[in-house]
Amino acid sequence: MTTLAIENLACSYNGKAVIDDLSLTLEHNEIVALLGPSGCGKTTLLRTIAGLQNISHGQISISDKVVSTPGKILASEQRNVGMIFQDYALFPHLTVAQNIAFGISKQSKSEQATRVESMLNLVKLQPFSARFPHELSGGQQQRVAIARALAYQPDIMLLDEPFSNIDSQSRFSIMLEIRQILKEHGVPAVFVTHSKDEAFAFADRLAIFNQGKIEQIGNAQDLYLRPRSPYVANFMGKTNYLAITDRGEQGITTRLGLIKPANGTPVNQSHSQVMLRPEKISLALDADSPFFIKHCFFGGSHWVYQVSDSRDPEFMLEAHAPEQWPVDACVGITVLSHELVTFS
Amino acid sequence: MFINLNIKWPAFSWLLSLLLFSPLLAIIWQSFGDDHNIFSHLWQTVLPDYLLNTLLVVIGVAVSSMLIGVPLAWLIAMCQFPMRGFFVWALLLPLAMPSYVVAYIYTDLFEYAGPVQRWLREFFSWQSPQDYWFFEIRSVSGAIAMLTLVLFPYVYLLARTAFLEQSTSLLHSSRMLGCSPWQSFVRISLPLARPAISVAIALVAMESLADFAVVNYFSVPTLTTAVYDTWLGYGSLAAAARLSAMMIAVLFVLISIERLGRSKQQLYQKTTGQETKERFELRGFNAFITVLFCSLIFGLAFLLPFVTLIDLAIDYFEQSWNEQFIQYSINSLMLATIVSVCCIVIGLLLSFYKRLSNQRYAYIPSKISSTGYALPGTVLAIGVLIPLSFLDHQLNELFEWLGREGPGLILSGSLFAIVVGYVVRFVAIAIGSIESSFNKVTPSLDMVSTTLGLSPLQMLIRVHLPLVRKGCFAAALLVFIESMKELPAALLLRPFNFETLATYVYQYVSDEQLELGALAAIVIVMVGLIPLIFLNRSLEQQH
Repeated sequence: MTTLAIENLACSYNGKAVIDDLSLTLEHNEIVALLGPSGCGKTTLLRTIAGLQNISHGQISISDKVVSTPGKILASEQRNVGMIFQDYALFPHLTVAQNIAFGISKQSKSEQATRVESMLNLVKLQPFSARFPHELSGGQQQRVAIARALAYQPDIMLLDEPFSNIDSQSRFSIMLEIRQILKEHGVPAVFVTHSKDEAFAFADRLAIFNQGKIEQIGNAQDLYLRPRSPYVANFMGKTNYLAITDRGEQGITTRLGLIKPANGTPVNQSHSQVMLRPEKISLALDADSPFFIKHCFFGGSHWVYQVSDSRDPEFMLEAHAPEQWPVDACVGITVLSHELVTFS
Repeated sequence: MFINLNIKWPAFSWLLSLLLFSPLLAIIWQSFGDDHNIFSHLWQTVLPDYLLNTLLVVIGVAVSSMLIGVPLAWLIAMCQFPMRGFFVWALLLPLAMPSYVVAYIYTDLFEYAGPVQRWLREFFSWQSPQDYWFFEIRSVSGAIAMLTLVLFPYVYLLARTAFLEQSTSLLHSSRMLGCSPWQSFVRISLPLARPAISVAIALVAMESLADFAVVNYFSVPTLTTAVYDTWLGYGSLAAAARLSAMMIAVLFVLISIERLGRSKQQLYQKTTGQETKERFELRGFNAFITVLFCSLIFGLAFLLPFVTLIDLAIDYFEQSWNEQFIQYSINSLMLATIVSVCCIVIGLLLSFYKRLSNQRYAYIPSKISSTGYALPGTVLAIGVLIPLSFLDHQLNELFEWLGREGPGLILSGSLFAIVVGYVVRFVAIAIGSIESSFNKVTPSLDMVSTTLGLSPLQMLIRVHLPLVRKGCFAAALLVFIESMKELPAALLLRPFNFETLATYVYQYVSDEQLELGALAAIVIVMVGLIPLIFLNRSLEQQH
């Protein structure tokens, strides 16, 4: 069963197209991250799913029921969708327990109490049920927002940059906690973020957004190793691009010499650039090499080197190495054998 | 702070603030004095009725302002309908209308000899007042209606801001949790706006408690008129002070409500910025009813009285444009200018002291100096008269002891009294405005200035003054306008034969001859419109 199906969606805001011919489906129990820089239309997409925004083309279905077509929008309150906002949007005049019970006010008092109790247990906030939102930390507020949305038993959860206001110390533990809660309850989710690290940790699949379109969708590893465009490659992490000077049976030739693809995977003959991640490049001290270290800094688990070419001062390449070498030291460069990604 | 001020700054600031605080102290002290049983006499005769009238007026105005102001605020903040852009600011204009002018105009319209009743009598061929029932405008309910017309904009303004500043994501959340727009209003918008509404209600209640002009004109005796009469009629400062102390007790309650509201407001009104508000589009019948409601209120509270004033002013221009009018305009301008300058200087000194002092209690001088604003004009006048007439007394005795003729009421009977009264009443505006400007100046500028070798005075002149200039200007303008409009304090404190525009207009209102004072009334209204333009512009920029 598909929980969410978006077909050929287009959407404009103040006469400007924000989303353009976008399609996306969400499987049962799946968490998809919409990843992209700010202003690329990912929040707008979330708002269209929530019924807070009109669409100009295409349709949106939730649990096989059409909820949005151009000119006909099912009201937000009838969609059974949960949403977590960047500012948590907790009602400041209600206590934690009252906030959680807000969406289930039609149930009997005892049912409400049981539900609130189990939600408080779930997010580990039982001692705080009588507190007001401003008396809680950011992470606690976030958990109340999750509990409130889950108490309503939504078909799908929408999260709009939910972790950006939480300090980096506790961000990842809260993310994993919430991911686990969503998974346990079998609630599928769409998660908007501009941080690839958050998307990696929280989502099953990532949709990379670029100017109102999904550039590429897939799991994290796939997007990192097999990006289909430099845009996706850059978004996923630091990348070096090298011009291909020659192609042969063995592999491709660049200024680093011959690079052999792993397992003999074919290389597109018309492409002119090869993409190399810094960790796929190995350095070793070599006094005869034309390459030398221009800058370096300690990156945590390794040293990060900016390597230049004495024949071509414009050239710059990033590589990682476990050892520390001085600036200006000459280094030889070897490309580790891996599946090569090339672009035109 | 890290700067060592020499003893002059703190001493001067504390002395100044104690002087500004002295009227309140004087009232409390004097209310324990001997009043020759006037107060107990009043208490056994008329005072219970006065108290009841006061309560009726205050509660009546508060409730009806809420009933008009909150719906208007919600419609303007959350809905889109024809002419909305006009009503946004037009509904603020009644604030500029002096209440006694509105009262006069409606009395003229609705009294027995007025056009409405005349027309009704003609139409139905009624002969005498016994033939029909018509409401009496010179009554408690009439006073409530008149005061509501000029005071409801407080509720409208604060509630509108509250609705606008509610985070959109809260309303969206409520919708996502299954609430319809109407349910969201009842469960989210209204509770969140409640602190702001209670602040507004407290302000409205304070203003109607302080009102002197309307109730006096309508002959509805209240505590304010009692204070006035006790002083002018019985000549008893002590009894007047006792009555004033009673009002201060009520004010204290109202101010506490206001403070509580404000502290909650900060919690409830938090926007994340850069949100676009979607308004509900009203069409057809709903739009018609909305526009009708807004137009009715605007018409009654501003358009009708203002057009009447202009009409009168044109008809009687020859008689109104005379030496008196020019003389009294000059009096008002001069008085307002002197008071503005005094308030700005005091505001600057106290704000600067508060900023630079490293003492724990440095916030107190500016706090206690601001108490005068909460006092009704009549009460404040009594508070100023008590210490000034005491000083006059001492001075005259001193002169007599020296064997010379005493100077008379040189303090309490001269322009000095009215200037002091106005300064005590309006310095709070200056302090508030200047302090908030000071708060916007980052403290690191002070540190830079000191490390670059500036003394506190040099820093005030070379760094702070240029930066808080705008706040000073705004404060001066507001104080100026309030001084132009102030009536009750002027009636009690003005020297013999000294008239301001406000007392001049009120004189004509009392004499049932507003046509001759219409020109002066228009000047007061126009002056009152100036801050509304600024207010509206700053609100538009925020949203």
